[in-house]
Amino acid sequence: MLSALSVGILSVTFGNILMIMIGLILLYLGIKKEYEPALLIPIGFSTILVNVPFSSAVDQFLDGVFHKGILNMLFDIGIITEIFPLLIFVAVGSMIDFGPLLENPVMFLFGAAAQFGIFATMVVATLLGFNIKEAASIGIIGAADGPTSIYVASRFAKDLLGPISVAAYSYMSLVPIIQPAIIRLLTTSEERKIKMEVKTVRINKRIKIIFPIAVTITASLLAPSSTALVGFLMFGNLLKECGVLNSIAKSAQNELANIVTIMLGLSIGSTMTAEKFLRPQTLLILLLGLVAFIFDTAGGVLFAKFLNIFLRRKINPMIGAAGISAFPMSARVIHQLGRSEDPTNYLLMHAVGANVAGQIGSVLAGGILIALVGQL
Amino acid sequence: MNDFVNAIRIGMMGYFFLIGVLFLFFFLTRIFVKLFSRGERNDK
Repeated sequence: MLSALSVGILSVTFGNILMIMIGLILLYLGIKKEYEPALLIPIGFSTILVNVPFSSAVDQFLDGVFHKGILNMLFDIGIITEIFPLLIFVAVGSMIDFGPLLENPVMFLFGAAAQFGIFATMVVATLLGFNIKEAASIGIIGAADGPTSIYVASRFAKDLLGPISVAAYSYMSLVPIIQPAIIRLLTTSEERKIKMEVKTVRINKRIKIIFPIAVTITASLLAPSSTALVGFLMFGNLLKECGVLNSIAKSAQNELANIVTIMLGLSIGSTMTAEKFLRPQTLLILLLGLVAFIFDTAGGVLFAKFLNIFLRRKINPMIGAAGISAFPMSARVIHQLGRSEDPTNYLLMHAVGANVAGQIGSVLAGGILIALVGQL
Repeated sequence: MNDFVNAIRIGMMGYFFLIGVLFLFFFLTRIFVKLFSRGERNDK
């Protein structure tokens, strides 16, 4: 009788202990350092739950009878079916204001240029021995967009979902450290001081309502594989902008976002078992995630510098770095960096424009990767 | 090696396609905003 109660303690392995420690570290980073706490706390806690021997939170056989664990159930319901990341997009869409992008549509170009890290990292990952599907799933960390990373990885590399999600969310919270270093390396002080014209176009309600519908139709026709990603993002935005569903829009911004985030985090944590996580591949994925963010930032900055060769009114090249989709953190970082060079420089709205363009760029990049890699 | 070659091919194709699509968005949005905000200039 007593042995049945002590079986958990007696079966603890070194891997279990290490993974529980990783869970505790994620909890520490989320709670103490406030690095993406909404995701890292559920992932960290779930990591502890799945690494307890004979945990009833995961699938197990008891006396020859199969018992489905709640965490595996959540994973099957929400990740395998792609429901959770898509619902998160509805929430994200309902929080985004595309106004700054509509005022200055040239920012669309940076939303594309700063996705360079996705594609470059995919190439580097194949050199390190990952197959093309795994490499695409790792490269998409460079989307700087957790739900897109999870969406693509759940298609191509379910076993790598844990480290990919942890890398995506960790580096997103490290944008204030990663981006300034790369920007300073690639730009001169004079370039960082460039002031940009403030746009005076008034964006009326009608434009804001038509925009998400038009983007969905255009993007879906050009890249059908991105329809679900773009469509759910834009649907969320339409809820916000249409003006007749304020209560539902608020629910999407709060209740939906909060509930799905908890479910998403817990289900991602269910993949953080010792046998899946404690592999040399995990370290490579974490490293490649950093490489992706560096390439993204460099791609955006260098593209802006390239455009400046042809432009009469120069663009501050730092704006290019805001083309990653880490919204709104990247825009704030660029604005603060600009102010640190010249306190009278006000780049926030331009950076926000590039940042929301990056949101569209990253979901499109995810759809493009699914289409191109999926056909191999 | 095959994966590496495929990754380069997909990487280049994907990146330039993405830039092309977002360039089209830029172009269409400019026209769209001009069309729908005619006569509405902000004084600020």
